[in-house]
Amino acid sequence: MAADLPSEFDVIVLGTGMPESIFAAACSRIGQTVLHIDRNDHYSGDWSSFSLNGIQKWVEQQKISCGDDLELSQTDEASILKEGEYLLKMPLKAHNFKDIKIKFHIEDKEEVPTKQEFHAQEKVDLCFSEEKGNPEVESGRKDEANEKQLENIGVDPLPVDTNINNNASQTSNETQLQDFSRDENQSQSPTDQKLSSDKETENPTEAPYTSVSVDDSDKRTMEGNAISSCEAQLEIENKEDMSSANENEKKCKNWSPSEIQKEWRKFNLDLSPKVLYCAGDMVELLITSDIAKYCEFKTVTRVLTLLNGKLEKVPCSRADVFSSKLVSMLEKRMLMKFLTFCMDYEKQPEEYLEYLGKPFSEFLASKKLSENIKHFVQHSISMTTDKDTTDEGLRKTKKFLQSLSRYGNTAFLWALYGSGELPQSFCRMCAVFGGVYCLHFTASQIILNKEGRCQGIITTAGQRIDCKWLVMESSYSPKEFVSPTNSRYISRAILLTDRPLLPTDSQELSMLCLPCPDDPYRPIHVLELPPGSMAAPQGIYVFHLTRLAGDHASVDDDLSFAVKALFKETEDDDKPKVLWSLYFRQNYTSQVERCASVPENVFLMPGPGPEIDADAPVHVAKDLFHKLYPGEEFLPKAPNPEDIIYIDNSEASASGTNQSDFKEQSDDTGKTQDLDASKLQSNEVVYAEPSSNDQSAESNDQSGIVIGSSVEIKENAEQNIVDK
Amino acid sequence: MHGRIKVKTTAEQQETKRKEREKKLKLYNAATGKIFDKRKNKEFDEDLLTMTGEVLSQNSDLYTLWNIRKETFLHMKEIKAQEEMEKICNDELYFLESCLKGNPKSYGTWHHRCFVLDNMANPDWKRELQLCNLFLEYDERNFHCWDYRRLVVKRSKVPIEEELEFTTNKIHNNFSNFSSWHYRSKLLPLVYPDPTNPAGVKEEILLKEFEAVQNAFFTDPDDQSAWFYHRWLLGRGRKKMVINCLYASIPQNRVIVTTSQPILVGSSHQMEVFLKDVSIEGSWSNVAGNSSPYSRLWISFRFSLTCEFEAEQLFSDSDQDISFLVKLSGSECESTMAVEMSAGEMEGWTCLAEEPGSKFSHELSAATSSTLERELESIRELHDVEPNNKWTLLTLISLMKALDPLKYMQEINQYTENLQQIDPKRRLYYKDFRSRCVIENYLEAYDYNSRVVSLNNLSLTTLYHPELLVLTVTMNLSGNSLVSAMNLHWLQCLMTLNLDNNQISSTAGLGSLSQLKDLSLRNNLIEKAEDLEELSQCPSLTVLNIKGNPICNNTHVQSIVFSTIVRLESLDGTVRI
Repeated sequence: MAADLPSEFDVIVLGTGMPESIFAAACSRIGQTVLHIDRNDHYSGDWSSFSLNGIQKWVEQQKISCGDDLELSQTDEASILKEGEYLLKMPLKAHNFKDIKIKFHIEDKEEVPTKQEFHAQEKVDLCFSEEKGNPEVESGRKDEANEKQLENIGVDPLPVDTNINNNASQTSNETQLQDFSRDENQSQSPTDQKLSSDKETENPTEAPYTSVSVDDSDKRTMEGNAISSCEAQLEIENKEDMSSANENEKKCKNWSPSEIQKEWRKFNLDLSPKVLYCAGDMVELLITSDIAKYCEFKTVTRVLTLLNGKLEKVPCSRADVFSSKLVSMLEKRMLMKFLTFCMDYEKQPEEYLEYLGKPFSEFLASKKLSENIKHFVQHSISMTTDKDTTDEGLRKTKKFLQSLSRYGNTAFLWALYGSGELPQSFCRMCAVFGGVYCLHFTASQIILNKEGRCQGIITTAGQRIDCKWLVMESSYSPKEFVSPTNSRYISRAILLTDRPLLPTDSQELSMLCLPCPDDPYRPIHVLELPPGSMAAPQGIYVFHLTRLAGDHASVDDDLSFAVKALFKETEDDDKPKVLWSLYFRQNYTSQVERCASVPENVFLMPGPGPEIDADAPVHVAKDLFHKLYPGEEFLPKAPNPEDIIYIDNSEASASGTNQSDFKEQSDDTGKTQDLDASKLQSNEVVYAEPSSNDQSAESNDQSGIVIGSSVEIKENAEQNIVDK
Repeated sequence: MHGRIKVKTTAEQQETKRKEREKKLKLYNAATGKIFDKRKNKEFDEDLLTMTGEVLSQNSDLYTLWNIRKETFLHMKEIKAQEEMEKICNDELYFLESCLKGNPKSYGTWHHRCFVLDNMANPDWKRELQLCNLFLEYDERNFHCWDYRRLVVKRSKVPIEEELEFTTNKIHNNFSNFSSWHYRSKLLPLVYPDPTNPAGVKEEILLKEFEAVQNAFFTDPDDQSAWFYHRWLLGRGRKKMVINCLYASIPQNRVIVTTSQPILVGSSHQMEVFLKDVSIEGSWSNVAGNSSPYSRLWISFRFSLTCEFEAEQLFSDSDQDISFLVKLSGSECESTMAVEMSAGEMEGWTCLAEEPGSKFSHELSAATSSTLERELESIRELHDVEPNNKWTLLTLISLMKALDPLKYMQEINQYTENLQQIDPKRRLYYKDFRSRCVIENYLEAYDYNSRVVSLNNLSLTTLYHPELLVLTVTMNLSGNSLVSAMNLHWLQCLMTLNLDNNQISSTAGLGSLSQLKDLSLRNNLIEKAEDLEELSQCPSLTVLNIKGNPICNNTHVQSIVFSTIVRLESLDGTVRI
């Protein structure tokens, strides 16, 4: 398989994490040939989202100290190397995680299945998912729900502002969804067909609250003869008939480990959960590059805070402030006035000039805000600590406020199926423009010439591949390249619970920033994901806890404040009960400094950091791109498929037919002149990625990836959609 | 560069677009042409539905096509079986939904939906309500949908409590939604009626509403929907329909009546005059003329001529007391007022006795004064933090005026001054507001029997409440900022009028003052003889002073004016030669 790879690329990118994927897409987009590989058998590297089995397998893998399951072909160095070239060994495995503890906090009620039975059970599930798409019980329940929805609403919930012309641009991600859930649709009543043309109606029960798809509304604005701006178009669907699901939730099922394990496919657990500021650079990039069409989003519906030991909803937006009972009339005015000031604080420097460089909290105090308001602004809106300066605080507050009400009453978006979807979307764009992908595959050695310049890599398959630029996530790099400083840890926990933080009628996706008494400069960020965010099956809630690791404390110590404050301690409190937990520490490089030993055409990218959002990787990728390709446009909007003129289709189809493991190959590749998005889809070479480790060993055979004018990246999400 | 995808140029794209448009236009014209032909031939069949459907799904604002569809439906209803018709109607509802998705603000589409449902045997109103929910979810300010919702609610008898709850939720999502607040104002009096006031709302509920709306304007004092709702909560009193004032004059041969609300005698109301208990005939006229047929001021002339008493006898027999009675009757109201004149008296009047301080306080009557006081307090708090918010200031002065305009006059003066600076576009409105307060304060203490009014040097911009000044004989309005004399037509008894030092540029409005003898208009903005023309209609005007007006720059001003107003005896102190 490795011999199939061309022997030369403009750019080789190691690691499919966020910054690498963005960078790869940007290069591919301007016509550079890109080889993008990942040593894992899943996309997104340390940014990935896993099913429950997937993350359990991941934990196992982390324990393997070295050696790795990557087979390493022996190569005859002499035959490969040119004169003056020498090799530098690269690590085949990263050691970014430590202190991993995985545990069920509940026990099976009666007959605890033996371990073997347990596995048998799993296998049955697996068969189901492969052969029928989903277990019968599931689909039956689903249909019922669908029909009920139909009766209740009776109107298909197409967003009002969807206009006819927009459909074309949306087709691709619609089909993406429809493909996976087609079986389901067909089994539905005829009236359902009417709905099926609409996006997202396929999963009405699972998407019970605001669902947002970031979409470029270019067309719409052009129609209105407005200057074509890349404002995002918002599609909101509020489904109202969640009552039945809610009642179930209120009861709070008594889960047993085997019951949870049975639902393993319905989990999407993030190693590095990241929310997106609605007006942040990531959202901006997703829109301007049109990559938003590959993902779907949910809105973070509320920001919570711990006020005097009680969880409260923070009034952030106008609507929140209006209806909040936490603050008095005058405080409402105070808060709104302050927030309005922050919206364009730059214009009133006299208000804050003397506090520049001083702590933000001092500035807040000078504004005579009440204690509650100060708390909200500092901990929940700007999410700053007493160490952050006024400049930083104002900047963060402004960013939050600008993000508000762009997509409904929220400042943040959450990628449906987990933030691991985001790097994959960029990979997909890269692949559409010719990028070549290989998973479970990496560079074993780097080839340097006598000037110390990188000539290329030796792959784990023993092939020499030359490149102009080599870009890698820092853990891929030979240890000679990395300076030991700047390395810090993040304490993380993923908890599954039986109920949400606060009882609600609708599913809430909440964020919470908890200053901790032991070290207020390192707050714990908590993210609550309800089943509707596709993070977990009905009745289970996923919590992500993230904190900068303390110097001496253990990961439990770091996070214990949040765990004690938020979750069940005794049997009689109605806080959420932790059913399962995964604790770990994640290494991150606060700043990738260039060591002198790094060749000038090799670049290192940082892994996920402690930030709650995903704007940093955008900057990293963009900066590097501009450095390597000055004057080139960074991820411009992909052309409308209708406007693409295909000339060398024969070439594209030829390269496609080389491959053996197509699932689907359409005959008309190369004939069609006006490929629209949906046709593009059918032409695509569908590569079955061994996603999330759960598809047994056989999938390893397929782990090479396929070249083609377009490659479909089959997302982890697929299984989940089928599950529904 | 190799590998780059070739993309159509903008010119190519535009060309493709242009061609598409052309094709579309051709199709469109052909379709509409066919449709009109079919209608002409009265071919109201499924084909016509399909064709109009195709055009309407592209452009749902073509009202004529909806009408053609309606005709088709009515025609089909006669010839088709009920079941079949039901199916066609249901299909139509689906079709309408798809149109609404394309254009949720099309009058024709929503209206057609009403039509279809009203023509169905078993319309599913519940489903319609869900449809409204959905569309209001997408755009909570789609008033087309709010209108439709009200229709649905009416037809389906949805509990109004639920509707009230719905508006509450909508307001919580976004309080800048006047449609919701407005709907609330319609629902509250129905859900929580006030036993003491037919259109009112229970006191405790009102207080809750005050709190809710305060939340809104404390959150965003610039949002006007909350302020408008607040204003509605404060209420607007309506005065009972009564006769306010009756004036009778024997030498002038007339009876003057003012009423508390505008009426149209002979149409909305009847008015009869009785002299010594005998009904006398007379024709009623409205001084304001044709501009507004409804008026609060009505005059009846020549009553004595048609009277059964001899006119001569009436006037010669001066020993006899005379009594006039005017009876006003209309739907749901009846009011009478009488004037007694002792022997020898030539005129007499009666005015409605009002309790001191109650003349103008009805304006915010829905709220008790304790509520008003409390509102004033909280709005003051808001004003303290937002001193330059116009809505706060405006509400503040309205409350002050309703509570005690005399006590708060100084603040009202100050705030109207501020308002003029903050909101210069409406500065005349604020000036008028102030004038109104000043005049009301004057009138509270005014004894109408004195018949002399001095409102000079008060910076008034307009004369409010002229209806209370009908009896005035001498009036001094000098030194104000009046720009018009229009309102003065009310002052039917006026004999001496001083309008010096104003900015009046026309005498329009003074023509109907039959008793006016002496008019001073010094230092105004009269430019031309035409501006004085209306004065020629004043039968009694003999003395006029127009010194200091632009017209005086004309050397022939005297002869011009004397020739315009033929009865005039003295102009600017110069006697007609």
